[in-house]
Amino acid sequence: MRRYLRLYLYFLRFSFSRALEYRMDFWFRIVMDTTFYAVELLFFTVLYQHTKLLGGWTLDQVFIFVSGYLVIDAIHMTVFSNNMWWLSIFVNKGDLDYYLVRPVSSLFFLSTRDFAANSFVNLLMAGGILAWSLIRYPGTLGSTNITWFLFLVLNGAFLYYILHMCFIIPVFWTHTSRGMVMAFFAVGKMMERPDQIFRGWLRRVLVTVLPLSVVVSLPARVLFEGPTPEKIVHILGVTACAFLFMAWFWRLALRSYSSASS
Amino acid sequence: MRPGLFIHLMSIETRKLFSYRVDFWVTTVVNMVVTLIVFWYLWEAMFQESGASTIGGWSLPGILTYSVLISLSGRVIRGGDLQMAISTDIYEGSLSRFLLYPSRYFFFKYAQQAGAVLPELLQSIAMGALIVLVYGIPTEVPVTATSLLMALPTILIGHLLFFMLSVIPQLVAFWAENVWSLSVLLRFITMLLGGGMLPLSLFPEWAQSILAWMPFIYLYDFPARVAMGLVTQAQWLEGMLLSLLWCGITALLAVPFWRRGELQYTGVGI
Amino acid sequence: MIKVQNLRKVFRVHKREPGLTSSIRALFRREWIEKVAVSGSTFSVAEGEIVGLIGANGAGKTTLLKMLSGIIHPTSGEARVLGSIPWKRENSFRTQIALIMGQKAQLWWDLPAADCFLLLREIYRIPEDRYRKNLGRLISMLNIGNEMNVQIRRLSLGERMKMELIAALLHSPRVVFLDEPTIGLDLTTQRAIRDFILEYRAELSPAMLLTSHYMEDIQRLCKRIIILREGSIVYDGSLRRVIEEYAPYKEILVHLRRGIGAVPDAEDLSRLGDVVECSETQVKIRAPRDRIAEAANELLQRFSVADLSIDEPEIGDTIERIMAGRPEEPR
Repeated sequence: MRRYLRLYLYFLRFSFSRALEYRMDFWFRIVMDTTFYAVELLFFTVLYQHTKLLGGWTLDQVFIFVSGYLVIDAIHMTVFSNNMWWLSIFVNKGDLDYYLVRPVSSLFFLSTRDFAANSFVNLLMAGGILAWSLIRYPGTLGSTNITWFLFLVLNGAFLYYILHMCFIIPVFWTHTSRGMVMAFFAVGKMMERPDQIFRGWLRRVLVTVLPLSVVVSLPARVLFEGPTPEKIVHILGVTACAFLFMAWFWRLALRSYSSASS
Repeated sequence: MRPGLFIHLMSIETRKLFSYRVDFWVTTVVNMVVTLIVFWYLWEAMFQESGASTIGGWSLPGILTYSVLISLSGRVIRGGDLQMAISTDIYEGSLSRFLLYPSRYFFFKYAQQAGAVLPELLQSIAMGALIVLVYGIPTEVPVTATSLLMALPTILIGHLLFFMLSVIPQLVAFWAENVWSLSVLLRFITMLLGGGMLPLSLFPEWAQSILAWMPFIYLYDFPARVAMGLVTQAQWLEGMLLSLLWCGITALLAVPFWRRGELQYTGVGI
Repeated sequence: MIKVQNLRKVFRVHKREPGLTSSIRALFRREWIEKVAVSGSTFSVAEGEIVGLIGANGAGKTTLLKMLSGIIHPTSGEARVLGSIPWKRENSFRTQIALIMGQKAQLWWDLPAADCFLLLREIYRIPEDRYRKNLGRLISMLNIGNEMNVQIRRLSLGERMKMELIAALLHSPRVVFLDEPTIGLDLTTQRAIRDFILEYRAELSPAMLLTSHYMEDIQRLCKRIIILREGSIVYDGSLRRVIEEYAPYKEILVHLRRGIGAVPDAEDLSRLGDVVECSETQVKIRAPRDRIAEAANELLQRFSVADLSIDEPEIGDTIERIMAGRPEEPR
């Protein structure tokens, strides 16, 4: 475990020096993400011009929900996203061999080796927006609720990564990642909407098999409605199952990779 | 401008897209369905929870039709993927080979971009037909064969306009190492301000009057409203002229970027 | 056909200092250093001439070719290729030149070569009959069969290079720039490509400018070479003259019969030239060209010689010394 931590520190150091090298990209990313944050908040602001509630939430509640999503997105962009991008390229070009011969967990190595230091500032910004939305909230939010919420947001970031991986891994068989990556972005839109607007079977799917609503929506419900044991168990349980599924899927993919390549 | 070469380049791109494997096409269809589901539940919830019968002048069937139309036309207008071809050429150095050819670089690039129109259009038409078969055309919406035909040129101009808008951010690649973020930025802005996320009539009045003076409106909002038969013939002509004017303006703005950037292009490597 | 005067290209690179704080400072302010890639080159190339551009990596060969083909602008200086300024990129100019880069694929990666060629016909507006004639000729010269209908990315490096050559020469350019056309190829393919270039020149006599790290290419193809060192031309002249001027000596190697006749003495032999090697069985002497016969004669008379050979110095060694900036023979 200590070894992995040290390894990760190396990844961090490399990526910081690389990111600062490309300074234009550094600034552009800040501009891009600021715009993204503004677009997300504006979208809901415009919608709430025409309704008081959406998915059972007021605008103030939706702001917290959205900024929770922004934090998760920022964590994903900083920690995982570049690696996901590279993974499909590695698989297609057969460059994976180089990573498989290392005496460390290939999943760990390939998921974390490229830390996007240039998104780091955005992580701070998203955190700031979340703090702002919590402070400006007119009602009262208990500190237990807030603590649970923040913890579950981190859990949500991890779940986001797992879901993304599950959409990337098929590249081992299909060899074209484009379609699946686009599919993830389309499906991912459901994360950005309150879970209650989805009804019936779709909602049931979104909180279980394809747990997109578990990423931010359910944590936000914990914040507003209190951390009942069944909610907490549900969220953590779904995450654990998703993780086990991904780990199994990964091993399956590696086996097919090593048997297919010459 | 040489139509022969343009068509040749376009057909290469088209054939390439058609030769993609089935799973690629299946996933794009899935994407479109998912996008529509997200829209459908959103507007359903909006109308139910607000209790209003119209929102921003739209009835529920109207706004759903609008959403279907922007998801179908949007793919054609954006040309599928993110617009990265020019910037990739610049920093990978493949611009060099185009500079050697006796033809203009942007001509090449637009021809390639246009090659994606036909497959995307066919796909959108097929999807549209399927939706009409399953759900029918809502009676509240005055969509006709004429209005759909009228929408076609506006979509093609929208495609050109989106390409033109993407040129300047991409040319920044002459100076910056990575302009992916600028392309994404363009996408966010055009989606929100062009009506790709919600109809522009939901914006407050003052915002709408500003948006009317921007080029983004011609990307999603205008073609969708034309297709729905909500635009008079005079407005239709005016809108097309204005969007062509915007194409011209963005082209002119791009010229100094190209001139200065090309001067210091290194072709990558010494 | 190519005329170059004081052509100069300076790149600006950002100075990088180690450490996180200086990296963060560099986000806001940046120091630049100038790197001279080509400094004031002057030369010209005539019709039908193949000129070899030689230099170490980073000596400015590719930069020079890129300027002459119009891809990049020079910092200062002038150049005329076929009477046009290359970086103005007039169509009349571009239809008459070609650039072939061994290191960089120029063809459409995911198309079969046959499709690429059709596209090029359209780009260069080659009339149908001329296109057929040229393609037929190039295909037979390079000995290409049904690889034409295979996607470029599925071809081997050698096959791909042949396709690149065809693609670049379809429009019968009058000026051809070849940047390391044989890099990474096996010996047979290298030879095939060299023969092809010679044959092509014999038929159409274009002006060619060629860079290569393989001496074999240079020796077979170029009568004239230009040597670049750190962006400057340090030699421009015939390949033969390099040897005469920079290596005005030959080497005599003598094998002696053991135990018979006189034993060679290095000090004594140094009258004849530089003694490279001197043992009981073998003597190697480097002597000035005009005295080589005399030296050989003396060796034959004085010793019991089993075998004698006179060799030109390795041309590659000579050029390498010039490239490295020490043209004189080390003593």
